[in-house]
Amino acid sequence: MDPRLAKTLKIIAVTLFLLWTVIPIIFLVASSFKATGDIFDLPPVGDWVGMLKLLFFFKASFTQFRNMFIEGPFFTYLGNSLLATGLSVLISVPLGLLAAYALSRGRIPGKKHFYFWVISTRMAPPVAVMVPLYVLWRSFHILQTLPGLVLAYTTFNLPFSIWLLRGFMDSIPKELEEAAYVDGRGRFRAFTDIVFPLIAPGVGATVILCSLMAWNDYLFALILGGRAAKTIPVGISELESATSILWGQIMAGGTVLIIPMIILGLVIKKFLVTGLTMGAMRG
Amino acid sequence: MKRISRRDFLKTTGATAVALSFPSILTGKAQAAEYAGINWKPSADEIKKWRQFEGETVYVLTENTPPSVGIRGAASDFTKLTGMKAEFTLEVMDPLKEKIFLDLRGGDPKFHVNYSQPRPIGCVICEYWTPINKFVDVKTGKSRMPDLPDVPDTPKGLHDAFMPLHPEQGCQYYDPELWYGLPYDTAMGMLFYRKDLVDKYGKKFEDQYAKPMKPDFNTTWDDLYDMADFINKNCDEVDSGLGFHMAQNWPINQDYTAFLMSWGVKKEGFSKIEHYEAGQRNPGPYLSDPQDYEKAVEVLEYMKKLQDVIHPDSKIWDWGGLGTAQATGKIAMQMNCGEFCPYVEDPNESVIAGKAGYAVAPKGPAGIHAYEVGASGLSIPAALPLKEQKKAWLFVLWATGPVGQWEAFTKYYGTPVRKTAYEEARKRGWLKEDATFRKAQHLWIQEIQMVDHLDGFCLGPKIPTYSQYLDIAGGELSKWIAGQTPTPKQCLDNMISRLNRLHKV
Amino acid sequence: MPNIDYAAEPAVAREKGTSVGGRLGLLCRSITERVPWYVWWLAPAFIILAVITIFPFFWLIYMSFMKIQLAPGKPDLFVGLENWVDMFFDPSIPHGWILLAQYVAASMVLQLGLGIGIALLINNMKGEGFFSTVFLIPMMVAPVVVGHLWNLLLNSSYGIYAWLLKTLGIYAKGSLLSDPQTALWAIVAMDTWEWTPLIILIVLAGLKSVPKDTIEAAHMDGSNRFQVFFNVTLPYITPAIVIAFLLRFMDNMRFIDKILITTKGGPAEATKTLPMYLFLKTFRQFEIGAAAAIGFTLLFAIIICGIIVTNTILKERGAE
Repeated sequence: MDPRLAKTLKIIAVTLFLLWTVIPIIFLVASSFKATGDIFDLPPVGDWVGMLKLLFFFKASFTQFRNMFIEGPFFTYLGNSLLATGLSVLISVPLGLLAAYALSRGRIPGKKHFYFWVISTRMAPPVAVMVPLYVLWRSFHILQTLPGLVLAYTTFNLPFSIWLLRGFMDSIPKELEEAAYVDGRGRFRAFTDIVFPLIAPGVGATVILCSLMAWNDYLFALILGGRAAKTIPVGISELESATSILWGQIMAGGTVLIIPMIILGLVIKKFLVTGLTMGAMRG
Repeated sequence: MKRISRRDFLKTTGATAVALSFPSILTGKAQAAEYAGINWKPSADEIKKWRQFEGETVYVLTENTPPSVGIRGAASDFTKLTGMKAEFTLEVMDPLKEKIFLDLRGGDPKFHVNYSQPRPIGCVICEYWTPINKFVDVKTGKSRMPDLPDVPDTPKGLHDAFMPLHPEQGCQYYDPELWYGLPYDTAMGMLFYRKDLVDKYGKKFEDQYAKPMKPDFNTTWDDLYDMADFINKNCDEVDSGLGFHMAQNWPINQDYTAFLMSWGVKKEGFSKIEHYEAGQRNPGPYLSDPQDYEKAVEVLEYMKKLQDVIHPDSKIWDWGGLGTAQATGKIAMQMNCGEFCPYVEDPNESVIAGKAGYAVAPKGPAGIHAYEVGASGLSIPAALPLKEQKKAWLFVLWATGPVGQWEAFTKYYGTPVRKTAYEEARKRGWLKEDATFRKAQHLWIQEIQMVDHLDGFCLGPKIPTYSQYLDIAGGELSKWIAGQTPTPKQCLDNMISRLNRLHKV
Repeated sequence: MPNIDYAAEPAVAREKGTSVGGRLGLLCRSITERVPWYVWWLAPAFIILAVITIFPFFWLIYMSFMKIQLAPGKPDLFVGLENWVDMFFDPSIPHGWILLAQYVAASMVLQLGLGIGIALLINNMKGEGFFSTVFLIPMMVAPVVVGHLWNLLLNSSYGIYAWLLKTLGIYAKGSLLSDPQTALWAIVAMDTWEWTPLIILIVLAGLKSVPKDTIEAAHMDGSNRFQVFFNVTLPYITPAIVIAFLLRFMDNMRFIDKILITTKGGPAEATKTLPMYLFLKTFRQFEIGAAAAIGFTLLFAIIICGIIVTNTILKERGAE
């Protein structure tokens, strides 16, 4: 094949894929900054210029955000989302750190089985998990409460953080702690003084990935959160109704949900793939 | 089934109509004091009862249909009357059902008021609602608790304040003595058709078929088939002559149920249903009567035959999809709930505003004009503490009361079930074919159906296993019309064996 | 490497324990000493995990033999194998498995094919850093938002993708999601949009491990592009591809957010995959016992698949 032709084809293919990836996001963000009527102004079939205008050149408006947050109840939902996400990370990551250290350094009989259990939570279908959780949460009287939701998020965040952090810890040479013991420091001090600073970036990545999973969750909040612990994803879905779907607000809600996560994602870009593949790439 | 003649109906309700006036509506301002104008004069003492929870909030979970949109719109009236705020969650039927089930079965409900569509919600979940008999004497409408007001405006008793059969359908479950709420709205199937097409092609149709094209009280299902066929062959204005909501599960089941009734199958084909209106816990074997079976075969054959003339998307339309197809001019006629009238008649939303006509459902071989009805009530969770139940009860009283019902109807084109609303509407000349109040055109058909054709009032079986019934019957029916089942008998036999297995008979 | 037993408690730490006086202290110390240190580190996480994952798991099995009523004053009833037997009489279950298989297979083929292809194209291309940054974005988007966003993109009246399909003359019947013939594929497209970038990034990372001189040497030998790819590059990136496969496979088997938001199993059962049916069975029909039986089957199937694939990876590792 002619190398110039090959290069052109390559650029076309990559550009098409790039467009396919970013257009929905541009559409999402653009729609959330439009007045309600403008969202539905689709150009006639075949009018490509009109389509460009729709995506890039429009009159910006904050109507949707105002309707959601000032006139609507989304501040409450935002609060619930933040609290549920934050608290579940606050439980999962410290406990995960302790457990991961023990698993990384201790000679624990049956460690393999424990690992398997931990990773099996990653294989469990949320719907199947939800069936007993709903019944159990009901008997604990924590349905439709924030603590209930936080505990539910812990079911996937705690195993995830154990697994991920153990991966980071395994990459720290044990000799460094040995030095700490010689200095006369106990195991916990050795952990806080030596190991933790070294894996701090990994802990940061774990925090962000756990937040991502809790923040983006829909199913748990829908079933276990109910009316009283309603998060943004559930709130957005309620904007869809039979007679008129509030597309503008749905898109604005989507923007509110994705922007912080995209920013955080770019911050930990280096660890993101490792995290999303659950440390499987390690080694 | 009880039947009352149209004249009796007018006699029993018309007398009070003269005394009514609606100042709050006419002036556009509604204030607590003005409620006295609606044949309901709360004394200072009563007002105190209404306002006992001032400053608190009532959470309402309901379907997003015109009546509930209307109630939400009119909620400022509720606040003026009681000092309470009403927070609404409006949902499409399926998520609504799921939310109600989850909230109630969780044991600690967070909503005060639930929309109780008898099927698919009430018949499954009614035992989680509190019977209102503890608040009120269901005969007279007088309060049983000294700190709660009476049901507003019930001079002839509670039952008579509402349109016929609605208390039974929307509030009673398995025991006619217990009321699980008060009637609130009604969605009623009827025939929508294009008057302009009838005017244009009526002559040609008459020449060809020797019968009138305009649907009226004598139209049969076969006539409807002919009209649809004729429109498909002769009219370019529309894609198809007729549309149905034959999407899987509930929509197609509603069509099937109405056909069964107009073919003369009693009690939805279940042998043991005794309280048809209030429902039956164990419905017994399905289609065990050979005659019913034969009729059901004919129904299935007709449904299959219909596929030749109706819009092919009917298989995936529910009520909303069908209504949109009508409003966007894709189909000439539809069998759909009247509550879509405001949408079809809205010039901003619909291309056929002003061109639509409305008729009672066609009649079947048994001579019955059967039509689907979604007669719903508002109910209160039994697990709520008594104080919260009282707050909820005040909301129910207001929303099903004369003011709430009238407001929802006039401002947001809802479908009232209070007789007073129909009386006032008739007084204003809105209950006739060419009424000026176009967005509520469906109301005159609703009234005729409820008064003259009460025997066609059809809802589907009111049984505790309704969800499973829907999954089985709806699934088998979908397969049948999609041509995946070879014969109607096989379709019925599948249904019978699966349903009998479900009901252990 | 010095051979020190890190599992044993360091001497210094043990000495500290003696400062706690009294009999109680002694008792505590003897317990603490007898119990290995890692138990204390592991205990909190272990207990929480046991309560919120192991207990529910056994509860799921228990419920599959019961009729769970959740009604005031109604106890749960033991029904034996009824829920399990009923599964064989329910035609929705084979239907659900078939749809799930179609959905997973289509997603896997599309995502892996596209992902590997694009990764090969942008590897060492100018602007690779920019691309890999942009490709992070879809993965960060909540599945709920993906569902709603694509619902609007494909909406026949307001959606720009529906507009595009009409303009290009590919599909003009309305939304792809409301047509039983296309609904499942529309959902596959959504998932592909969201997750192909992950595969690209994983494969890109794998590609970095391919030594450049080996490739150059292969080119020198006169191999063409395809030969180089299959003989040199592919063996290096196989582990990455296996991991990507495993991840996407398990997630596609278990998540239903997009179906739940867009089609809810319809139209005409076209998207009622097994997990979706499980959702409907549980939270629409509230047949919790029957749902527990189905849920256990699904869980079991996924874990078996997981074990098989994980073992394959481990073997691969061992061979390295």
